[in-house]
Amino acid sequence: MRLWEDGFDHYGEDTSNMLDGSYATVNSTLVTSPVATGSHSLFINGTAFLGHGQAITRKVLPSAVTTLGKTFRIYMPSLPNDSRQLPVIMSTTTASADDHHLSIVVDINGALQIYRGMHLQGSSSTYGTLLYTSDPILVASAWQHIELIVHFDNSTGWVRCAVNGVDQFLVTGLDTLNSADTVVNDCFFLFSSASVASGGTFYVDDYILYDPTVGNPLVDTDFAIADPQTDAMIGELQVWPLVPNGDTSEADWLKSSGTVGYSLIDEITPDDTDYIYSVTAGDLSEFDLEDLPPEITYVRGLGIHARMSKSDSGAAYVKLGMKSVAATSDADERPLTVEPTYWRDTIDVDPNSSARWTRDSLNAAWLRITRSV
Amino acid sequence: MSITALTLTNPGAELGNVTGWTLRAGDSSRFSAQALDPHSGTYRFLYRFSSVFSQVQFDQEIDVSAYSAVIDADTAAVRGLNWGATGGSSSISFYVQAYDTSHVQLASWSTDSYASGSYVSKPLTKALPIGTRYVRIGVTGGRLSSTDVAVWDDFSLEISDNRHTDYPGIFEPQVQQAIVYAVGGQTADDTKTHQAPILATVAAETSSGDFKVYGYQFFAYALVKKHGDKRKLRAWTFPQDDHKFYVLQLGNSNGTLIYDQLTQQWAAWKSADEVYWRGEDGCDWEGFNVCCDTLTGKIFKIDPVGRLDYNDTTDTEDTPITSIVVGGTTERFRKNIPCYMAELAISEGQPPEGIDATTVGISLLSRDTLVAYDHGSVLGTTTGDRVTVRWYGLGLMGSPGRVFEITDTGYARRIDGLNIEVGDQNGSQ
Repeated sequence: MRLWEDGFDHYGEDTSNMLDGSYATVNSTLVTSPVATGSHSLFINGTAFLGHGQAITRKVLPSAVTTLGKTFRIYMPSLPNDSRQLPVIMSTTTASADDHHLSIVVDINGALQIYRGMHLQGSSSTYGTLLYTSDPILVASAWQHIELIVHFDNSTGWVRCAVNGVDQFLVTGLDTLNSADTVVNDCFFLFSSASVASGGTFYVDDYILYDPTVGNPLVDTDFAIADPQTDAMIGELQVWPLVPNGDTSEADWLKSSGTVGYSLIDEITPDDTDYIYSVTAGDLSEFDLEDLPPEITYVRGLGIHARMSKSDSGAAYVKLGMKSVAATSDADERPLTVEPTYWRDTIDVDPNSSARWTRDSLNAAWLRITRSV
Repeated sequence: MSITALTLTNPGAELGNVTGWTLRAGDSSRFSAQALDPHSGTYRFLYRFSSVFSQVQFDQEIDVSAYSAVIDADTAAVRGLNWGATGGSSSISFYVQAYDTSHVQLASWSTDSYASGSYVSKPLTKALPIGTRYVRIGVTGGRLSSTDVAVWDDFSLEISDNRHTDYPGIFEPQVQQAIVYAVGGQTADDTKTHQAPILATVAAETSSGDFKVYGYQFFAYALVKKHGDKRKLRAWTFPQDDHKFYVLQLGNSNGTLIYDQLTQQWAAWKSADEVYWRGEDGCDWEGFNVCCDTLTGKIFKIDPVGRLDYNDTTDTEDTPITSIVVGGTTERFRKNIPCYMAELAISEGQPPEGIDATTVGISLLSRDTLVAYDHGSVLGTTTGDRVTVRWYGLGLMGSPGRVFEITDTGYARRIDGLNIEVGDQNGSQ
């Protein structure tokens, strides 16, 4: 089951927007170069030396997991040159944000190191117990796709890694839990036990989280793997942004200005001064989306991220969905808040074919926005 | 939709006194008009506090019963404005109140305190509750410490009969701000119960029927793969009916070229909805030509007599193969040759089994250096062997010539040839 996807293309260059419902803490920068997909990538350049738990970019999962899959692309301008300051490309905090269950770190040679019990505390920060060091598998100045699966257990934990679609290592029999706390988040950050910055910065794009143990492994939109230790991993996926680019005849939602709806909600940088709005339960608007280019031949999922609010303390629910030919599929109702907040839903299956989207069926489909209450 | 200014008596104290204003709390001897540093005009209102915690409240009531229709339709709003300042030791706010015909208060809204020193404006834009017949505009507050004075000037009040359109950028944020207070009200069971009166005021406003949901940004992320790296620059061959075909995969953007070594003709093959043909790395396997589809992992059999293209990209049935044939004729010099007719000979004209004849056919396009000419299409409803299809009146062909493009969407089993009938420069055939 897919838990999250993010191309970092809809926050503009203001990371405070990432805190509007998407991330728990952010210590990074949104940049336009280099990028792997879309218009922006996430630049992990702020160290966790001060602020500790607050100085990490942390995504909270919808529920606790025992196995967590993570895929993303990474770009390092250079390999780290100081072992006191290294990129942490996957880490899970315990209930204390300064203490971590398991952390996967890029060392100065481009090898991955796996630690249990990383502790963040300024110059007293420690990596914890080293469980494994891989061969050098990452290089500088190139976007590389990394797939990681971690099983969390006190004695039978394991870590599997692939780079650019090629399996690199599987380490089993590990103690991957630092405490009895549940695994309920994922982090990127820059470990530092030195107050002076000394390299190790990195860029991230095409970020996906999933639980390979939930779902039907025969249905690829489920992001499930029958045997996550040996079966094929998810593969090199891109998180490709699609913004509304056309109105349709289904247009109940009102416009804050003008007569065109899609241009009010298509911003790469969120703009809360223009919007569409609804004053009546049952309002439905449908919008055309940008097309995928011809070179895209496989669509494994579709995540919709919507920034919405309500004006009152009463209940207001909105459903996000897709329309394909005449068939529709709507996600669960989302209870809005007064502050503009991001809500995320997935419509991974084409409601017309009851199978995964194809490039053509997705290009022809419409985004649906329904105020249900 | 319109905004109407409501007439206030002596709104800026320019009568030189406080006529028109009702002092509801405070000492009338300390309430006056002062000809000193007005916000505009000559005078301003002044109140000189006598002691700590002494209070002042004054306002003016306006009859809005003339607007009862729009008020009771729940579309009206009022906007009050005032400029004021304090000496820094008092807390005084601007307020607007709504009353029914019996002068029972329906709603009350107020601002935070004026600042010390310079004039600050305190606008209030609020939806009028149903039943409102009177609106009061005024100020209220008290001295907190030390000695202090407070001054005001330029009260104004306007009414809108359609608040949605008249205050699109002003009215709504204020509703949002009010709702923030309402959230505070939901924590009223903690130690901050002293905020309850404020919360009650807001609750009245939220019932005004002006409940909106806003959508600012909608973004879809498709999780996708490219296959370009697997399809670039690959070549393989297969034999068929003594023809040797050479397949060149040139990547996603360049498509797939097929060279027939016997006829020395090139063709471009493509799969439905793709710019390239999905067949890869084929071979002759015990008399069958097979190839693989890296998109799905399936093995394709190249069927020499099949006329339907395997379709797994949608839930529709297999579709007829579309063939495009291109030929041309050259012309030289500055002359125009008429083309009276084009005749296409088809060895067998019949749609594949199970395909509606009205959905397939043959169309003819021609192009010169500047213009493309659409000569129309013929539906595949005429079946039989040795069928001919004709297009008449193809216009004048000038230098350097004309390229003809025949597109068959599944009607013809084989196209034998295209003849065009042309005249000379004088028009004779």
